Amino acid sequence: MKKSLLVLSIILLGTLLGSNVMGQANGTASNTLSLGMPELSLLSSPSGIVNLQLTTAVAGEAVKSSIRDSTSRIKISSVISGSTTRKMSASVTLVPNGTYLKLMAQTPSTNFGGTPGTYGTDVTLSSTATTIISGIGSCYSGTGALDGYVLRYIWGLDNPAANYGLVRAVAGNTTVTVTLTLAAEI
Amino acid sequence: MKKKLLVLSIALLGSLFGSHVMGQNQNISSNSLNLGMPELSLLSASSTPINLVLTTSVAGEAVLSSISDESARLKISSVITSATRTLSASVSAVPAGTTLTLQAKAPIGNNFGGTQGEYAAAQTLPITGSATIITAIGSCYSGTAANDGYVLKYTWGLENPATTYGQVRATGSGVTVTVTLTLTAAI
Repeated sequence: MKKSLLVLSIILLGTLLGSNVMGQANGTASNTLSLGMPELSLLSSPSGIVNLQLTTAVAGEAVKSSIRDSTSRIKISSVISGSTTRKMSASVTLVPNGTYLKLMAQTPSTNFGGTPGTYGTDVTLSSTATTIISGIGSCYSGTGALDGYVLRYIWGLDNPAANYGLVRAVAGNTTVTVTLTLAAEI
Repeated sequence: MKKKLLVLSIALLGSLFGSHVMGQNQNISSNSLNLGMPELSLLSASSTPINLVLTTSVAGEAVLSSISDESARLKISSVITSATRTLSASVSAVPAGTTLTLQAKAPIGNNFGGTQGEYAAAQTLPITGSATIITAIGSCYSGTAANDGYVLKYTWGLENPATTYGQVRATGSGVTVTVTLTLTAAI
């Protein structure tokens, strides 16, 4: 068994030192470098809570038809293999009855480098993940407070003429969670 | 020996593929959103006075037994939590020997949205207490145009002329009375 270990050690040494030893035969030398660049697929979003409120003060009016917020950002670090780009998708835990929640990814800050992909369409969120950005390549967003894709949320009444009867007041707020996922495009 | 080789192979594999596996554990992020919708219970009625006159021009007749008006509107904005609401009404005074009734009717036009509730039959308006005019009002809005809102049909008439006509009195320029409409939670 010790013999085997010895053999193994020699083989290992051989592999480790091999490249240095080789190539000295004819006056040229070469180095082999292993350059590692693993795939990266990192997302992070500020932990601040987005507050949206719909109400009115005038008898006869429905509550405000929609309200929007563009304070949220999503930072990204992406390194892809080959040509398989990525997509960012979003889903939401729940949306109050009679309302919709839309999300649009918008142009990130100038600290962004790389291939940001295609975005800029309002997407109605549901519990099923829906693509908000497609064609994301290798890129980085920067890490400042305002870096990253801008996330614009719109909360509004979903066809009030037909659905307003479903609307309910909530003491305090309804807290919902939007989950953003970066994945390979098929 | 085979065991050691296996361990070594696994260790090598681990270092080779380790970097690929790392970094994929954060490809998900989330946002928290607070969606706020407070309760709403707003009413507004058209401010134009309603003129109702009872008279006759034929000797031997009592005055007109009753007269109605459907020009008043009641605008509403309501967002409920769960219990539906009731619309009730009372009146400040009614001339002796007469009654004033109120019946709410469905809004005219297409601006109303939501759950408008159920309409009671014409109710005699009391001076003390209140009469229920609409029940089961949910989340709704009436619109804000001049003709939007519930239609309020007022009827002023002789209470029971055979027995109370002796109490009826003429008034010079009319008696102004005020009807108060209240939107409440269901009792």
